[in-house]
Amino acid sequence: MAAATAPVVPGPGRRRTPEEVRRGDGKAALGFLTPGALGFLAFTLFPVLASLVMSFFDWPVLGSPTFTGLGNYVELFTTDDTFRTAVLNTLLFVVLYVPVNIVVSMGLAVWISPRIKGRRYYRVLFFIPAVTPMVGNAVVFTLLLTPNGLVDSTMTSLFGVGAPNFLGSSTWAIPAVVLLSVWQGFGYNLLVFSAALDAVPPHLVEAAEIDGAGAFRRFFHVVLPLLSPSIFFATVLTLISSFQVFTQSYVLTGGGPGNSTTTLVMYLYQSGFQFFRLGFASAVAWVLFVFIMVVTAVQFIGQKRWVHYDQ
Amino acid sequence: MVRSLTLAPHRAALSRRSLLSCAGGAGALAALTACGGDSGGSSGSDTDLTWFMWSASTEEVDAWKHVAQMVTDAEPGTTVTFQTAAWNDYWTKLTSQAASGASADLLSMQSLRAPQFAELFVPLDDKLEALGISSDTFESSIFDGLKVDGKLLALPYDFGPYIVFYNKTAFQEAGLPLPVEGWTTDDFVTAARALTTSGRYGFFANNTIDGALPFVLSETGRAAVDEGGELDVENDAWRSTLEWYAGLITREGVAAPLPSGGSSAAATNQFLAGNAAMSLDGPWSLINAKATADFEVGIAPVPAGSSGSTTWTAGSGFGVSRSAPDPDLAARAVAVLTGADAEAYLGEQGRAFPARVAQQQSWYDGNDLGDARTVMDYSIENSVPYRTTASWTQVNDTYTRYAVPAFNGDASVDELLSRVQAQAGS
Repeated sequence: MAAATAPVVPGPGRRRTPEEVRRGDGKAALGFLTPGALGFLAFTLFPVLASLVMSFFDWPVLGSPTFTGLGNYVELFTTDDTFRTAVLNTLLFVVLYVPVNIVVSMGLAVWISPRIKGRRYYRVLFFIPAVTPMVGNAVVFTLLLTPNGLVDSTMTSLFGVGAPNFLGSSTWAIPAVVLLSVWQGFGYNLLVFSAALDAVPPHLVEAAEIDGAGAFRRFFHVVLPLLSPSIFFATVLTLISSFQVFTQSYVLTGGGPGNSTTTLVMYLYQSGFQFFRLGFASAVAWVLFVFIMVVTAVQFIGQKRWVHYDQ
Repeated sequence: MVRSLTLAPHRAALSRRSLLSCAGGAGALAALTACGGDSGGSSGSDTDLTWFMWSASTEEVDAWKHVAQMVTDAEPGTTVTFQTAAWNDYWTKLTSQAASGASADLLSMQSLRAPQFAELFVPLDDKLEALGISSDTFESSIFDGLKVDGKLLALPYDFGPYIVFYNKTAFQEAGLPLPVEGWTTDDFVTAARALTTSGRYGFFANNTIDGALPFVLSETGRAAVDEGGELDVENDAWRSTLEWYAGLITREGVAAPLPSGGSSAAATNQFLAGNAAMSLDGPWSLINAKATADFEVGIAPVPAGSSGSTTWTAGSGFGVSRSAPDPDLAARAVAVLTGADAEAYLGEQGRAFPARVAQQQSWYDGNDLGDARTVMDYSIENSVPYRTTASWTQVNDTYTRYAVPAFNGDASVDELLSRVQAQAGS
């Protein structure tokens, strides 16, 4: 990138006009932004627009595309049972996963927030699952949860009763997927909450204590409102990522048994890369995008009621 | 679940933040450059060919590279660059490369998937004479198995019948007669009962059509795809056989409950781990099985039902991509890759049971396979080619996921079959 050639440092005895400032900074900014902007154009904006166009076509992998207008969307919302199941499975996953993740990560963050011994090591320990590859974690969970696996054989030897066939049962498969996701995902939010807890001004807590508030009241009425920006941040990101759940069910259950763990992204992948319907898969992607956008917008509107930015 | 490592929304020092964003920008730029590099696909020069093939180990890759070198020896000046992916990824990658019009010049194809990928290939029929290839040097079932609508898409390199793998050590310890040609479904169930002990099942049922088809063929003589090429599984033949098959898990308790919808390799793994005494597999797994298992692995034909012992055969081959700049050169390369020398080498190395009849002996000679020959000859003789449809991926995927609840007793076989049959038209 060409660096800005115009002199940005004014000569002695002369004031820079606002115009000069704007022009000089503009070139520098352009220089810094171009690499990122090029990447954004090539690898984000273009695919996004291309997928929007593709969603109006019957676009096979092999052969030529034909325009179908809203055909893919009409099929999704009228005749496609699997899509309906995928939407319900995704919502079920979100409803189970997001609260459990927030509660677990908040609980552990609170637990390690006092100056307990080895606190830094706990943080690292709890963050390890978040940085290990999901596929590896999923394979380990498969070994744990499979019939004759660790959970099953431990239960058999301790209680004489085996564990359910978690991944092979339509009832247990979604909870198993949620379990793996929570294990993998809580470390990130834990760090967020842990940092936010450290930033709570001690004098506010002390003041509440002097006023006679118990530990319970101090946490829920003083600390928690102060954490609300972090909780909002964590909830938005966790919710978005949970709508995009894919790897867990892809590796653990392959979307089965039946369709019981087929999520929206799983269905998108199947439609595009197994069933070769790229246009249809693009339509699924856009529906998912609209879902996420609406849910996030609702969260941003709702935050005014419960998120406190003033300390 | 990929998300950026942005931490808490707390304010960091401005200088540090701008430093970080610069570093991030540099990283992004580096990533961009990296992306622009290796994208596979057709090669630049006409005499440099690319060959895309699945593989599962470095030994396999070495064997394929050895065969690729044979092309250079036969066609001086021509090089074959070997590209590979794991079995499941191969099909995804082949699909995405085809979508972007950047396929390799030489492609590998399995007979079951040939109808789905037919459009990717240059038919080889009118090149055979110039290449000096006579179809009768190949096993006819796999030579025909790689034809779609009468056009030959690829020349076969391997093939094999689906057969029973059994734990010979366990059979001997249980005092059971070893399964041989002519053993029946009743013998099979009797053996499975006797072999089921705590911690081990007699059999591992499979949640793929591949695993059930030999039993349906042997019991009823019907396949999954009829003579006219249409999927036909929603019928009494399939229903009764699959209900019997599911009963091995639910009623008899001689087969393990299916672990999950994504576990098509479970049968092989559980058999090799000694957790199931019998499973169905192909000769392509035999040499690895013998090397891996800490018990003696035996093979037997599929047990005979009311229609005798019948199994299916399938195999794979190599063909010329429509995007190859010089199809004639690519066809000559395919002829070398599936030629007598390459087949003898692959057979001897245990990489393939050769599709060329005259080279099959090398598979027995190069590997210590005991009595495999009688079983293989019997099974090949009593087999039908595995016919599939253009929507086989959907059919197979639906079966794989719905077989789990149906065989574990959580759903009905009827539901499985109607779900699978519904994929016929898609």
